[in-house]
Amino acid sequence: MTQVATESFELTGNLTVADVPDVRRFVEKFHGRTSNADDVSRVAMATHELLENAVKFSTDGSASLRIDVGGSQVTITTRNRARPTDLDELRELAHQLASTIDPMLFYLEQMRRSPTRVGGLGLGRVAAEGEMKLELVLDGDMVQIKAEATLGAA
Amino acid sequence: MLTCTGSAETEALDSLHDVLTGFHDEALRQPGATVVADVRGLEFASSSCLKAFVTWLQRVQELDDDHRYQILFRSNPRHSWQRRSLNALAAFASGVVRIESEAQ
Repeated sequence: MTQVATESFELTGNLTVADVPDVRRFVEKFHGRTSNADDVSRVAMATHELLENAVKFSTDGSASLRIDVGGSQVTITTRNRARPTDLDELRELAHQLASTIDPMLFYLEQMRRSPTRVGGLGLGRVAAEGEMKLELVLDGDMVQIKAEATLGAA
Repeated sequence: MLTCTGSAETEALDSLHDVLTGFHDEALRQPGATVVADVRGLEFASSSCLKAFVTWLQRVQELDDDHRYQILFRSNPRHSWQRRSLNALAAFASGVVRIESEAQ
């Protein structure tokens, strides 16, 4: 049986938008030890976009980020509490993304739209540029967004 | 020529928007011109800052043929996010955006 090496990184706290670039740079360094430059770029970009959304729309100032890398799979998970109107908008975005044939079409549509409160452009970027599968889980006012990708496949 | 270096973080959005508006206004005074945007030294751009570029492209697309101009992005192959993001911008504004890739 082959054992798959796993690495995890987790951060929870009261963060501001100004903290997000620092987290992205840390992830680049952390992940850059084991992956090629393009994978590092995808993971860093997705981390930035998802964490920035979580921080911006958190209702209590707290947001969390977790990154799991196992073999060629990477999973980025963010959690935050959100307002009911933001939850409705997120549901709609998730529905649109799930029903699109090509994530790039969703991304281009977000470019055409006025900025959404819940960061539709960032989600589209993660899905299209990052080539990541997005999953939204809502539990009360808690939002969890999970982005999964296969490294080395893009 | 517009030269962007460092990181285009969300906090720089207002400044970036003002700069791009200035380049747009200047380009309108030179019909048929090509604006060169050298982003080879740009290590990252958040989606909020990309939106500023999208807004610029939208304004160019809305111009009539006599005033429309092209934007040539000079990109750095070492920053792979640039290939992905600029290709998306080119898909959004085909006919307006051109991309040249060259190491710095």
